[in-house]
Amino acid sequence: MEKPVLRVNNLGKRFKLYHQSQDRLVEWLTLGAKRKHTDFWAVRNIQFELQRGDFLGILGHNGAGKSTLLKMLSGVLTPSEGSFEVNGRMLSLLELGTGTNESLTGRENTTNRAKIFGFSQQEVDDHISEIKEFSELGEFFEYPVSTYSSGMRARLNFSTFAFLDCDILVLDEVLAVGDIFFKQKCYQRMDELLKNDTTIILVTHSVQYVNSFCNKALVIDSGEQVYMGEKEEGVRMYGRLRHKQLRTLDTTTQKKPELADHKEKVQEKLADDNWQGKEMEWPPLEQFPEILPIRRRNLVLEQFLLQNEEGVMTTVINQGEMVTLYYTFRVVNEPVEGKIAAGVMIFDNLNRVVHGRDNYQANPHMHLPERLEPGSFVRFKQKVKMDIKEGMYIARLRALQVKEDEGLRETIFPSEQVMSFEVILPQKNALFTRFEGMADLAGSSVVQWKHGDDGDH
Amino acid sequence: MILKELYRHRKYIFENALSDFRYRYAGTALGVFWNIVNPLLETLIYVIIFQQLLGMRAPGKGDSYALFLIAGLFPWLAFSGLINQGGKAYLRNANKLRVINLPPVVFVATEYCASFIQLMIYFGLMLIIYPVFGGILPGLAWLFLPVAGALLLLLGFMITLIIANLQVLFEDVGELVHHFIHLWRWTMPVMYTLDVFPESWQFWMKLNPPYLFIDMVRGIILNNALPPALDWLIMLGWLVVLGLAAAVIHRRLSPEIRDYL
Repeated sequence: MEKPVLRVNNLGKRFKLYHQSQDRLVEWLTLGAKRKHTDFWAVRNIQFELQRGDFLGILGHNGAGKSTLLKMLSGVLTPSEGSFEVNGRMLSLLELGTGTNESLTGRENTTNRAKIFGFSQQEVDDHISEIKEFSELGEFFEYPVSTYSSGMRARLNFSTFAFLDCDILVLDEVLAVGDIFFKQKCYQRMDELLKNDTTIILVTHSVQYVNSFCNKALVIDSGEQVYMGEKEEGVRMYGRLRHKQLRTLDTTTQKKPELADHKEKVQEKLADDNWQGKEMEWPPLEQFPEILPIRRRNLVLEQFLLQNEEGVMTTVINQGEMVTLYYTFRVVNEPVEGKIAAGVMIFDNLNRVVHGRDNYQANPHMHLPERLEPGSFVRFKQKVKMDIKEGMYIARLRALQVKEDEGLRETIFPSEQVMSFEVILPQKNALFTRFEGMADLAGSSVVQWKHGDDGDH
Repeated sequence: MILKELYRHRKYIFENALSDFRYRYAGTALGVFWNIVNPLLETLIYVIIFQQLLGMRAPGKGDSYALFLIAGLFPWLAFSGLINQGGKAYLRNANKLRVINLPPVVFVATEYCASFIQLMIYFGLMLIIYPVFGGILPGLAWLFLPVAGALLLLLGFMITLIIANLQVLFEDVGELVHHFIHLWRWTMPVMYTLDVFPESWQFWMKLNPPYLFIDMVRGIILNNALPPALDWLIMLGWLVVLGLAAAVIHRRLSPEIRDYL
């Protein structure tokens, strides 16, 4: 096997947290005898190797430690433990536009930037025309950056990086900006780089990018390396991370004994398998993530779980996959008067409702109780086929009481955000897309034809 | 270590200093001339107060107080400007330090260069003022002025490097420096002459770190003379002591300060 281009050994970063800056002074004056700081490991025990031509996607939620890791790799932060070896030249574009001198032209900035990274004038001269052409800045390349639009800045920055020779290119969510055409070009360029055996490391929130472009994935959760390896498995692992999708139980706020006590009682009720209504399969208690119960009016959401077709909890869903949602409410204080109806509402990233349907809309004749007294529990199992465009979505949960005699639908649990998820295309190949646009509408097509034999050309 | 980093990024430092300097007053009608407005105004005020109201005289017989003042005040302004601006260099460039792998010391060095340019402009101004208003013609020792200025600012660079590092970790340092620097100028004979003090004090006054450097510049301009050996020894002593202190503090703190930017 070839020598890895990047080898990361047990890398970790600890920040010392001080309440006040004077505390540090106290530590210094006592020569460290008096300890006033708490250690915070932003990221720890990171271990992986990359070969030439690898494209690594780093996945993790906000605050997982992705950026800290990248900053260590690019030399901005000093590792607190462990080490890494780079065999070759590494370029890192951690943020667009920083270090840009507004009063200098695009050309001058490009040159300056290259020099910071240790390129010689000769190397810059060799590439400057490619950079200019790729950036599509035209004559603006010779104007001060202060006259640029944000899109133009993005183009200048990416171009600089994509055309300087390096062995590893590190990108931190930089492609989130810029117009769609330029993005496309960037990905094309990245493909070329990979073919030339450049290694790319990309940090992103988008599972779709990792799924379509990367071959390796590193999943970080709360500073821990959860997974490193093939991208398919990485994407799956990322989907199963419990953090931040749901309001996970925060141990710091759960110290009150009465709450813990109360929790036990509820858990006991939930575990007891004596339910009325239609027979259904319900996952065992331990499969549900621990969530902070959400209370609105007279309902408390006690359980929530989304499973994919394989029965695995996830936040990454293949387009067209049938997912199953499980959720349980507890009635408190006031009774639910009328039939209860609950359902998940799916919102897209522009906060438009993509779809929502509760059990009453699905079947008004379903057998339901007319009234639920405080202390009652009610649980729902809902299936949704995710025939929607790939992208990021938010699931909100809503509950209503339907008073059939009065013809009223009253919201008793206003739509509350319970998770975010991403729908991805299972195939990269464009031949296999099943539809265009936002939603898969049911339908079919039939085709007929006649071969011609005019032969007049 | 520091020297290696500075050498490696020398071009970035020079270019940044130049463009900082060039664009500081960009868009103003007088442009670069604003750089000399401030020192000239200060000179005017001190001349009115000390010479006109308090009757201060220059040490040499018949010498003008204004000429004595300018020769010391201008270098002091460059020196204190470096400490004031350079002390904040890390905080001001935090956005760059957070994402670009540049050694932080580069930004203090940039301030050094900018201050040096400023000082050279002051010297240029003196080349006009002294012959025209004082009848003092530049002598051979004037050739040494850039070196004297560079040494004065080198001392400033060392102090600045210490402050820049500390300021990231302790917010109070900024305030402290800001107020201290105003007091500092009054602790040495720049606005007034050394002979207002009893003779037994005079040697101790010379131990104020920047004083002998400023006095060197003043000596060159007013008397066309370089400092005596004892002065050199004291200056060298300060450069060594502060240089070591700056190197040690920088070495200890620079890996950590980026964590707090």
